[in-house]
Amino acid sequence: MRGFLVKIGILTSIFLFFILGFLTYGSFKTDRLIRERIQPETKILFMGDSHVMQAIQDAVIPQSLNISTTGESYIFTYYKLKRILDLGLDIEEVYLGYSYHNLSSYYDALIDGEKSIHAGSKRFYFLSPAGMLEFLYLNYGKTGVLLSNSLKQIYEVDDYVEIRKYVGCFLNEFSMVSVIDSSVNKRIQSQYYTTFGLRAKSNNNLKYLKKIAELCKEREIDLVLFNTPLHQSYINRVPKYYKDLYAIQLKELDIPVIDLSQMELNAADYIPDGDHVSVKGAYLTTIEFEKKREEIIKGN
Amino acid sequence: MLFNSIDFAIFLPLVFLLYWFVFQKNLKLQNALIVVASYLFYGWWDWRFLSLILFSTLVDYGVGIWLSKTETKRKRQALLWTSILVNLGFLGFFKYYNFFLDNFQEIFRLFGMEFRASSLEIVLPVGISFYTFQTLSYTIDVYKRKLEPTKDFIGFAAYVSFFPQLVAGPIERATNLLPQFYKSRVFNYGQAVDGMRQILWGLFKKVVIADNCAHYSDMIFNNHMDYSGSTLFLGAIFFAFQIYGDFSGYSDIAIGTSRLFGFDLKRNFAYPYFSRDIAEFWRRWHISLSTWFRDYLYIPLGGSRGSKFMQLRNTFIIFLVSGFWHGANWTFIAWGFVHALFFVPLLLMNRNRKNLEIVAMDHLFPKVRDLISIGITFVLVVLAWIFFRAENITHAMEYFAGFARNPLSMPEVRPVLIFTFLAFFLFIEWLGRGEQFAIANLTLSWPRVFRWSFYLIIALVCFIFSGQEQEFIYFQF
Repeated sequence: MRGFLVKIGILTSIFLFFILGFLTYGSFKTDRLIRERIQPETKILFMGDSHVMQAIQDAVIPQSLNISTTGESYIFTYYKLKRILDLGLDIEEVYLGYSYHNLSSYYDALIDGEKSIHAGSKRFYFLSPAGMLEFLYLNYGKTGVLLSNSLKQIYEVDDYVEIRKYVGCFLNEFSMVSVIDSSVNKRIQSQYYTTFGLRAKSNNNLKYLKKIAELCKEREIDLVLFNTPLHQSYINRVPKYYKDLYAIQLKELDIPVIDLSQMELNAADYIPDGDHVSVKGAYLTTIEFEKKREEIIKGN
Repeated sequence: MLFNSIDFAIFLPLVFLLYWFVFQKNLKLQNALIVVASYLFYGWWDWRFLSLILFSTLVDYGVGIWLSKTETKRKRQALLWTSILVNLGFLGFFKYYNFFLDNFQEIFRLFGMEFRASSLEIVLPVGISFYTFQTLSYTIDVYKRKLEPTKDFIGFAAYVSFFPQLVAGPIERATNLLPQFYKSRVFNYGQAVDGMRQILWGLFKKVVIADNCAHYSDMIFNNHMDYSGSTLFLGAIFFAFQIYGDFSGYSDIAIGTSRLFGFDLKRNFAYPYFSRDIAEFWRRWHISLSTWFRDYLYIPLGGSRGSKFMQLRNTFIIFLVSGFWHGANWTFIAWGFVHALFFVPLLLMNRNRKNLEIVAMDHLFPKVRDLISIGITFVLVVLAWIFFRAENITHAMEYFAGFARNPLSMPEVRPVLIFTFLAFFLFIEWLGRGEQFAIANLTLSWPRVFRWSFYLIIALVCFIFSGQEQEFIYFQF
């Protein structure tokens, strides 16, 4: 019996050693990719999900970089930012996407729900060891698939385009489009409602929003929240509960906000879902954003 | 609890340590631990269904005791029928109620009448077909006086609920498994190491072969109208490997796990895709079910005795019932029917027991004739799987009709990595085709460093190239 247990123990240890090796490889590679993506002269970061990814053309704003990715929840934004700062990059300002949908449990599907394997495995190596454990705990039961998928994902990132997508970038391929009411409705339904009624708030996203704020304060970085333009037909359908929660959170966090949600844009400046801007909408948003940003700087 | 889950990776070592270190001196306590662990394992899905197993256990235990005290034939028959009705009643209700209801309604509609009854939202208890057949075998064997009824309730409950094979077999006969619960078990190093090897190979079959093939077979079957005939055929091949990897992988893990606890379960698969005819395929595929049907249905019906007509009738009955056992859908019945059709020519020509020995035994390569026979048999089996996989008969027919679309073109789906895995898998299975499982003796003569490296590589491949974690297909049966 002892011999059996010892041999199983040795084989399991070697196996775990390899897994640890894979995790270390992924982690180091992520550091390298961050360094390749974010140049030392970068001072301003745009972070968040597809709202920011499609809205801010960083090429227009000097020393800035948009590193947002689709479906990025705050847990990953927090660890990504922490990782960037720990690498010694000299970031001075962070503009973080903050909109009504970020507060909804719609995001939980990407954190510990049915989409977490897809959303989590491509960002897994941004997490610190403690973050990895927390994420695996949240996704208990999918651990093996998450780890193996994350390894495959990081292994495949090697060219310029892949690195941009992995760390984050401005990406908008929507032109000649317009808002479609049925798409807006579908979007609202998926973001704020379940078959049983109004969705609950996302505790995980709220927790990590606070942590991002604390991290920026601790590292003396100016954090500004940023709500991208939303089509009127979308805003009108956002439940009051989420509009109130949005305001309450802002008050609690006491962080400046650039709210462009009511910015006047044409229907053709949005994509059909009404909460993402098109290529033209992105240009107009960036110009307007820069004006507001300068006002904040002057105000300081 | 799935075998390929973290839950089971924690559960198994805990039960193993308790079994061998805490309860090793007391057989009754060891059996009690198996019952508790098995109920926990099963209750992990849905604790409410534990009552079904418990009830089934109590009924068959009681019937066994009464049978031992009764000599009157009529009373014995009544007791046997009580057990059969209770067990098949559960099975019939949970698995077939809606099927029969829908079909009755359809038949009444055909005659212009209306039969009103609402179908029920019934959740099928995991593995009900497996443990039902297992407990039935006990009662029938006691009735036939092939087995002494047990008075040890805990031992009997452990036999019914033994967690490694509870939800997807192998369907164990009481004559084989039950006596093992009465013998004191001593840890056997060779048996445990063998068990670990079989678990490893079973995991490879499940997470690398089955789950990866599942991705492509699902994609092709669900969008069959969009693909060429060659891709549809490839989709059916992917399904053939999915179901084989899935089910035989489960059986390997079940048998391997049992060995860790000192039990020997019956073999359930014996390299069926190397069969040279359909009869041989059925001697090698889901052996525990086909022998169950042979012993408790085919032989009582007369088996291969009597006229050719009787033999044909019995063959069709056993294949149709076997198909229906898999699920309440006409597709499974069609699958059984197609296999019966494939089997009939062999029966008529008295060639159904021709290929009894292992193919190309003591040779590395098969003869050309054997190779052609294996190829033809495999194609027949693959075609029959289309009925098994299809959502309904129309889906199956559309799938077959799709074969006519560019049948000789290059398939649109060509996953090189999966082809590589399949080639490696078939190569290892071919090398080990004379053994209980493919890697049973493969590495034994290798130096330890190579042997361990082989195991580690298999484990790492399982980790890195696992498909999406999926339930075992046979759980639904």
